[in-house]
Amino acid sequence: MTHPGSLPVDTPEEALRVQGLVEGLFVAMRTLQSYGREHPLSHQSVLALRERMVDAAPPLSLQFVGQAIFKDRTMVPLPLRVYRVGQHLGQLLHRLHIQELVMERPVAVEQLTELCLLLGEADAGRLDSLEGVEIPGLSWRELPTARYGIEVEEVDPEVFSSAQLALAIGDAELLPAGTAAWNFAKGLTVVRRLERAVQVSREAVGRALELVPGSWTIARRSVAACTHVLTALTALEVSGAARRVAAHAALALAWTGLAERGGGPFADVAARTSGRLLEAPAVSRTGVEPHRAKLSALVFLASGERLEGDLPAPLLDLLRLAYELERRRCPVKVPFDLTLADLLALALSEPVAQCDPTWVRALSTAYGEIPPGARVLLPDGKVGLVLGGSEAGPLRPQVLVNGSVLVPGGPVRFLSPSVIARAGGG
Amino acid sequence: MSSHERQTPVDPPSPPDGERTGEHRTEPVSVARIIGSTLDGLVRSCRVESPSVLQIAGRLLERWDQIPDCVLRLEPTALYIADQEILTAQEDDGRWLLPAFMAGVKTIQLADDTRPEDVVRFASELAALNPTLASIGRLRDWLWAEGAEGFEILLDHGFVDGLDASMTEPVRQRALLEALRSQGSIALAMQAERIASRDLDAAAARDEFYLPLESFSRMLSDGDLSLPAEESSQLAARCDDSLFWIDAQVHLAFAHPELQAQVPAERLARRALALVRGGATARFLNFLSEIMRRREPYARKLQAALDTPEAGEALGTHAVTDERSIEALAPLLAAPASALTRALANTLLERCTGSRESLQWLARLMSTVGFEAFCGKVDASQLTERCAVVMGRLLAASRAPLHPVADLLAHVPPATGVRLATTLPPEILFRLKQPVLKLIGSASLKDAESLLAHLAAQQQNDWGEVVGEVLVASRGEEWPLPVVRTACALVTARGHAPKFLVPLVQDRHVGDDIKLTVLRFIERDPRAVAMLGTMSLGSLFQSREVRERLKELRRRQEEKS
Repeated sequence: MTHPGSLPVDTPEEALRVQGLVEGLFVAMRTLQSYGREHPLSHQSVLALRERMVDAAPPLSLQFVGQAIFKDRTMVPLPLRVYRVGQHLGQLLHRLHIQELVMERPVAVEQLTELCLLLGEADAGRLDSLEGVEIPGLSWRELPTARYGIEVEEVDPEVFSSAQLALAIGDAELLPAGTAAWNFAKGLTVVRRLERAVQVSREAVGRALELVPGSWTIARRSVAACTHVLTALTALEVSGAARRVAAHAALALAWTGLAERGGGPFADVAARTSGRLLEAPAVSRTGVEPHRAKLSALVFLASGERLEGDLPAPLLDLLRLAYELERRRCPVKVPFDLTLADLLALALSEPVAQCDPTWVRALSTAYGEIPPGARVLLPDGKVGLVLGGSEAGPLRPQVLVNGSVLVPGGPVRFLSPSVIARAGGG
Repeated sequence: MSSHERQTPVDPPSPPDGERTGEHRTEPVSVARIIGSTLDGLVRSCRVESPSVLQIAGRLLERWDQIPDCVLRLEPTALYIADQEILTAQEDDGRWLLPAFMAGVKTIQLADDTRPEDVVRFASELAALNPTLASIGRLRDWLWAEGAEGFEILLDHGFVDGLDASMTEPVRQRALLEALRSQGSIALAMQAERIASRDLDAAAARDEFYLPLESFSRMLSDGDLSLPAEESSQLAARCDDSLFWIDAQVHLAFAHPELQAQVPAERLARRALALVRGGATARFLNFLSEIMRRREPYARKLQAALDTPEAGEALGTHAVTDERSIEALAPLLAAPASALTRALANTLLERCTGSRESLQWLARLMSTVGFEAFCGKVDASQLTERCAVVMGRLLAASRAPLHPVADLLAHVPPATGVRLATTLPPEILFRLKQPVLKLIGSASLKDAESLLAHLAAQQQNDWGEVVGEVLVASRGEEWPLPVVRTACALVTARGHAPKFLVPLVQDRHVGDDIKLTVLRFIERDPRAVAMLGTMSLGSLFQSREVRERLKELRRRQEEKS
């Protein structure tokens, strides 16, 4: 829904334009209500509204959702005065089952007048005033799941989690590359999305991550590393603070260290990541940011610079595991990628991963014994793709076979890529 | 007038929407509304960097604590406690309410250990808030990343997250799900398999493709991949180990001094001390010892923040009394004395005198630290009688050098000192003459007499000589008259009346009351009386009363003889 070319609404100029548009619409509506179509004041107010519409440089869309106003799905910051006006308009539109206005181009004065009159009538109680009305350059629609004034939770969990995952990968692609200072805000956004996704539906996230079409880009693998940490720590019911720090660390390490195929050694990557974290400036007014401090401390510890002390650091083992899993996801000099099941199996073997087996077991428990994406052989000889667990037992997961989802009648077996190839794809 | 001064607690806040009626003016201001106005005043004070922010924060906390389980609920243009509106957003007042709501703040509560510094920090972030996306996002991020220490903030999705949730387009997501479940997935997998087949020979030798799926399968079947509940709990607890996080941050700050502003020493110290309440394990004590040994400026700040009597008391109260703790406490107690170590030593003494096992533990600790070093940490003036006695006994039994005991006697409260002295072995007590004599002078009459009586009972040591020397040297003025009386009794009992009491009588500078007191005891010793029998020129200078008494003594002596 974002229209290319429009300024981000976070710039003061753009925010003022949108605020002006909202105010102008309200004023015009009220003026027409009070004075009617012919009065010079009404004409003046509509002209002013049109000017503001031109200023706002359509095409654009305005959403009135959850006590806020959004332009092209980005929230418009509002001063108190405009907020109150926006609330009135939003409530009115909501009564008309409208949550989104789309302006394709500046609307003609006559049609704007018509619109404002109709809105005025609706404000006075005639809630069918806009039925059947068409205004060139302007359209509106209801957002079925957007309820005014209350929390919006009514989406299918799988949809929600998948959406958050997709958004997280998109946000991860915007993380600073190379050795540039880490962008904490962006990192937090990614972690926050993933945390919500995992909390709503861990299975959906695991499934989407492993099975969604597309290549295993660095962004996707970084998000995967972050998800492994979140999944494991959520299942263990570790506190939110520790969980977020560890997840953010996993994201930063993966983003810094992974290459298109493979990636750098963990300790080196940790040292580079530590540098990036330390370079980022504090943003809070007081400079005290516990999350940033803990994150920097954790990655610093992972870099091995601090050799003294014997405090146990299980989180470091988890970070190493998450990184190494994704490093091996896309093996060097080989064109295909490994599934999570392959990676977990690798992680248990010596001396490949040097990863604490406890965490491998924790991840296995959290993802389900046979993780999504695993290629398995069914008792009837067919090859399937694991989608998730089932009530039939850990060795009888939900499997995708020839486009159908089924639960096998007996235990499945893992298939390595070589076996799959020899079998000609099953 | 600075902004915070306008917001004095007694000023009623403006009624909503600017209405002013007589009723509003006369209505008593509730604590809840005071909280609202004080919080807003604090935010404004932070905005202008007023030097009084800490005081305002302290007042706010006091008021907040007056309402049990007080929860501030944020709406877009107002702040509530329960159903009472306590602050309304206007152009000046409550400017931060709407942006904070937009950032997702729903409710605000105090934590158990909220300090004024925490309140100032939170208010400062609210003060920096303005209605821009970047600013609102920054607050949201700061809150989500537990920046508001000392508060429990209920964050909701916030406008932005709410939009993400509400605007998920079903059409697009259905397409995503179809992708997951469609023929396309399998087709893709089959394509990947074909690719693997082509490259398999080349890749077969690579380690990455030695996939131990068979063993993984076997472990899965055997249940070896599951994590038992107990192991899960332990793992989770280790992840949440507060000491790990504190230690990690401290060492980060050591390694990168430029970050020390982000990890204020006082804040970490407070968190570290909060851990003690759960039991000061050896791990924690080792951490503390390491901090106390370091000399960097940041370490000194940590030490200063930790070096408080409260910290020492907390450590002493909650230290686990095992051998590991002795190893961990010893370096701490061996270090130079500080407020922390003094309180620690005293608290340990108080705590460990209650049972035989703990007393033995204490003895081992003192031995490990070194008795002298341990005594150097004890604040003798704060010791209870029981502790002083126990300590004295421990020291006496340890054959440690005497000066710790002497110091103890010198600095404990006199009553305690007397009690301690009477429990020391006679030979040790006799080696502590000076402190004992001083104690006699500083103790109450009753205690001094009690001590002298105790000394008199010690046959093996001649306290009569010691006491007599003091009497003569001080002309009897060292101690109050009743104490002098008891001292004379001791001297006489030891047969030293001629040596010490007679000179007192003969000394022109000794007061009459002393002489008269002394004469009563001289009477018990014929030798002393005999010495006084001979008239001397000096007797001409005695007062009439003393002369009369002397005459009486001589008369009785003559009658006897």
